[in-house]
Amino acid sequence: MSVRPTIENELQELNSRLFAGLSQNPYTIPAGYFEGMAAQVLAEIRRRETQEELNALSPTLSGLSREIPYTTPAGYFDRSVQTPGPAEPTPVVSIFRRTWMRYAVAAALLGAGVFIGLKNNNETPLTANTVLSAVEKEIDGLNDQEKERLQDFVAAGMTGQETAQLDLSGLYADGLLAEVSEQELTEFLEQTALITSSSITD
Amino acid sequence: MPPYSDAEILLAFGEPGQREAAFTRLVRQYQEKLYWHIRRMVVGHEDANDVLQNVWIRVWKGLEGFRADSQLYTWLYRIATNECLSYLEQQKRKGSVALDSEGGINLSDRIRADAHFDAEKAEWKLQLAMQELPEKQRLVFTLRYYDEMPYEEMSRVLETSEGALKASYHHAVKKVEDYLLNR
Repeated sequence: MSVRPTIENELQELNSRLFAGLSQNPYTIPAGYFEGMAAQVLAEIRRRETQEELNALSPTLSGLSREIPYTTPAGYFDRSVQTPGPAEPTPVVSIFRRTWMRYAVAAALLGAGVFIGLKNNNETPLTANTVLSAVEKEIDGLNDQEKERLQDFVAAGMTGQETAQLDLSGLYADGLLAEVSEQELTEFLEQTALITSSSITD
Repeated sequence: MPPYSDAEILLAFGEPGQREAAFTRLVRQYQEKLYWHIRRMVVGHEDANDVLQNVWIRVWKGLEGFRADSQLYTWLYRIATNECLSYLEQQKRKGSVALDSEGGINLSDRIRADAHFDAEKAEWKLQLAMQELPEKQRLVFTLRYYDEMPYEEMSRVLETSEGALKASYHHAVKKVEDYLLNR
């Protein structure tokens, strides 16, 4: 319903010679301006919400530019897309056929086997000293080159301070484990009993 | 796409899964009216676009708490009008707009700088004439003359009595007419 006649009558009542038909806009807008507005506004809302969240979480990080410092070769995105050849069926590979997975499983089984072996075959209770003795024995069996490699490996990765520097309080109090119940933790420890509930105590 | 009623939009906006779709409908339904209302006040397209973006962001934040004791359309106009006035005030503080002898904003220079400006055309002269009006009177004039808004609704948008609005419109019409006839 148009109110235009009302506006026209009102102008007449005001003894105005102002013509109601002048109401056409002389301004122009870019073509298609209104078509993408809703999407643009939603994108802007998301951007601002993300920024506000970051401001609250880390003012330092929110002050940094999000510009990515990497570069791409000139015209990289302008290259025409080449028509792909006939599609080849994607091979489905079981994860157990992956070499690293097999090695990992083998290592875990071997470790568990040695541990159980030690535990069951020793008449004396398994203590830290017996484990250390076993390790020392293994090390003695190595030749000089192997010993050197082992020393390099240990020296490269460990400073001896790692455990002492770990602050796990946050992890339990308000960190990742905050929502894990006591019962779930107990079950987890029972499942890993081979490692954690052994009699390795001093 | 058929127009949706305000109630349908509000109902859908309350559903988390439909929030963005409802907002998209709302934007599509009112974007042109609000844009032109803002554009007539701030003149430049880029300025109008900035103001309109801010309006939609305010709407997004406030829509959940909107109480249907006023029409959605009136509420949107109120936000748009306030954003226009804030924007013009900011421009005034920055010193990036010309002021008239009474300290009011006059955007005549911006109108003349428009690529399609034609001083001989009455439509353009009318835009210049409107710049001679004080801001509030310009608002009343555009809401009535262009948006054909009933005084009752305008009274809610501008929080001014209907009688005062009628008087304001009367004065505005006379001033605009005087400009068109004598300049």
